[in-house]
This record gives sequence, structure tokens and C-alpha cells, in this order.
Amino acid sequence: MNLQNLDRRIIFAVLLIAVASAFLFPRPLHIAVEPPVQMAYDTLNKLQPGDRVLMAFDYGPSTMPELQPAALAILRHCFQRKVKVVFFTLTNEGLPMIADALSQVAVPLDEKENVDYVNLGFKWGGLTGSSVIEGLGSNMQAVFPVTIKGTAYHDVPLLHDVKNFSDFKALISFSAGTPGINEYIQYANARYHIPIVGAVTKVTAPREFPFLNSGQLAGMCAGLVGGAEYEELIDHPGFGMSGLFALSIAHLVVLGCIVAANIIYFFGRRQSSR
Amino acid sequence: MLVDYFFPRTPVIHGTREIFLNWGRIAVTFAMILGLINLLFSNFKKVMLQSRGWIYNLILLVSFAVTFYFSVPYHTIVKDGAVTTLKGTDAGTVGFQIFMNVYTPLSATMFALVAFFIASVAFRAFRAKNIEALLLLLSAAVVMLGSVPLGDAWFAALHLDSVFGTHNLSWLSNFVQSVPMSAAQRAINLGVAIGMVSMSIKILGGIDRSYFGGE
Repeated sequence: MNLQNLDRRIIFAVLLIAVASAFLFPRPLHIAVEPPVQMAYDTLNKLQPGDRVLMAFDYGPSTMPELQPAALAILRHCFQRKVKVVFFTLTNEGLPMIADALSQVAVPLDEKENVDYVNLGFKWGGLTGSSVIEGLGSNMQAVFPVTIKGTAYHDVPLLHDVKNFSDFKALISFSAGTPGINEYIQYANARYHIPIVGAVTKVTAPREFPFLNSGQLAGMCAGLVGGAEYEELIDHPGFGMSGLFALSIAHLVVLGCIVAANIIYFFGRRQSSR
Repeated sequence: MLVDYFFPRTPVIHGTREIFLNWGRIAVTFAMILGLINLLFSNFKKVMLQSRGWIYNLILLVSFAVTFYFSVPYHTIVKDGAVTTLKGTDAGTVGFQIFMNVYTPLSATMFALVAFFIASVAFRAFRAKNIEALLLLLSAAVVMLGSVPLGDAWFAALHLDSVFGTHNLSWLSNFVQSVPMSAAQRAINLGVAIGMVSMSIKILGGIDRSYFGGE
């Protein structure tokens, strides 16, 4: 049997068994909080009771396991600090994500709709969402004349004196692609100087590091690990923490595949050179 | 729109920009409706003609109708004698349940399949055939292991943390991402931005007319 051309179904089976076992028999892991997550926490921890933040849920079910832990932890942190939250999304899949986050965090904490938080809903702003982001920077009411429940903008107590980005202390973006965090950095931070805190998928995190280093991004949670680190910071373990062991095992399996393949390749090459 | 960036405090320019923004939002909304109508017509046509794989088109149409019925209109729910009117995307509605219990697992499954293909590709293609490939492999190993807590635990167990002072593997992973990788990413970003500006000038100046179908 030529190991270099190992049937990929064997690799699939190994990964499946490893991850399933990790979920069935989890082990507690010590987690170290990385600087990007600490920066996000510090930025939001400086907010005062009554301050307002915008929260954009620009992701869907495919990236939910990666982003929802961070979204829930950050939302919980905001409510703990008595910060008012205004939700919106630039992707239609984001609406149930907001609803799910509210049912898991806002409802148990007894936060009042239109007073402690308000959901402005979904607005399609083109491929980059630029027309909506630009609109939020100049006249928020023109973009969202009513909330998702149909309440007129001016009838929402939380939005009484809110005109645009300048009335918010931060914009928190949960982003899985475009439109997402990059567009907020380009349109909202560059022009209106609103601090951006984000949670992104692990695969898109590398492109955000330059913005993090330049200060255009005030903090970032990358993937499930970022969410778990934020859960650690607010001392409220959730899915992020419980999924860490399985994620670690999956990483090990992939790494094991690379190492095994290279050992086989190395010995195969030596044999053929003889 | 572009001029407003250079003269942000000018009311006339700002007002004009607002009008354009409204037009933009209305246009993209109609584009969505147009896309929806197109989707329905093209699938309906395939079902009527019983084209190859028409059953899948039928499944799409039925799924669309069911999801639309439960998600778009407002729904009245009676619970403990209290009447509540909810939007289809609100928690507690059938529309929300369809989304969370049908669409969410299907969508997550599709995305999760990537992990299997990554493992397969890692075995088949990631070979240290030369120095560059070896460096890539080593940095990938550091980032992958450093991104999960198990990596730090192993690093400490093997006493490798003493090699890097008090730093652990996650610090090393973060360093790789925030210094060399960030520099490369920044270079790519700048290159793309300069390319976009150059392309825009060519299009605006009429030098490049390829978008008209010419050369």
C-alpha cells in the first residue's frame, strides 16, 4: 500500500473520531488571554453606564460556532457595564443571530427593549455595505426609519438624541467576510473615528492584524479561541470554553497529517534515490 | 461621493451625497427583489420543462414558499392568554425555528466539511520539498499549535518555554501573526489599494474601456 496516496476517507474518519471523542470526553484546559482579546476587553471595560455602542452581526449559521461565543460574551459584558446596545446587520442571515443572542443574554438579564437595547434590523447596503455604513455616519434615522419591530425611530427612548456615529462610543463588528469589519474600518473608523472592536473568523484574522497594529482596530477576538478568551475575561464560561478541547484535537490531527505525510515523503524519497 | 471626502463640512456637497446614498440604498433593494424574481422564474421554468435535476429546483421552490410563509409576514402567538405579534425572524416563531433547526445545521455542516478537506490536503500537498516550504511548514505548525491551549500545555511540558524566556507558544504564534505576517499583509493591502486607484483613474479617464466590451 502506497502511504503517500493514502485513501482520504481514512483521514476523514480519523478526524471525525478524534473530534467526536473530544466532545464526548472533554478535558479542562488552561487558557491564556492574547493581547488582541485583552485590548477588546479593555476598550469595552472603559465604557460608562449609559454609554451607547453599535453592534453589527454580519455573520450567518456557517460561522456561528466560531463567532457566537464572542458575540454572547461581549454582549454580556456590555450589559454588565450597563451599556446601551444598538443592533443591526448588513446580512440577512444576521437577523436570527441577533435574535438568538438576545434570547440567550438580554432576556435572562431582564434587559428592556428600546431602553437598554434596540434592534434596528437588516439593511442591504450593496456588496460592501458602504451605502448603509456611510448613511449611519451621517443620518442614522434615514437608514433605519423604524426598528425591526416597526417602532418609529423617534419613538425609541434609546435613540432620542442619536443622530450618527458620533453618538456612540464604539462599533462592535462580528464579521465573517464582506460586508464586515474591513468595511467598518474603511468607512466608519477612517472617516468618523469611531473605535472598532471586532470578532472575526480565524481564517480572516490574519488580514486584520495590520489594522490592529495601526490602532484602527481597538481589539479583536479571532475564532472560537478568541470567544473562549473573552468568556474567561468576563468569568462566564460558555460554548467557547467547551469547544476548545475539540478544536485543539482537530488542530493536532491536521498537524499530525502534515508531519506523517512529510515522514512518508522523506523515507519514500530516500528509497527511490537508492 | 468622492468630493465629499475632501470637503466634509460643505452642506451642498453633503446634501447631494445624502441623495446619492438614498438612491444607492433603493437601487440595491430593488436589485434584491429582481434577483428573487429571477431565481423563482428560472427554477419554475426548469420544473415545467422537467430539465435534468428538476427535482432539486422543485425542492428549492417548495422550501422557498414554506420559509417565506413562516418568515416574512407577522405572526400572532397566543401564550398564557396573552396575544403577541412577532416578526418571522423573532425567537419563538416557526420561521426562526426553521432557520435555527434546518438552515443553521445545514449551513454549519457545509462549512465544517472544510476541516476534512484541510486535513486531506495537509496530508497530500504540504511537503517540505525545499527551504521555503520548510519555513512555511514550521510557521504553520507554530501558528496552529499556538492558537489552541493544548499547544501551550505541551510547550510547557517539554520545557521549551525556557528557550524563549518566559514566553509560551501562543506568544510565538501571536508574534508570527502580528510581525512578519502583518508586514506581508500590509504590503499586499498597499499593492491592492494602489492597483485600485490606478485602475479607477484609467477607467475615469477613458483610457481603459474594457468594461464597455472594447479593448
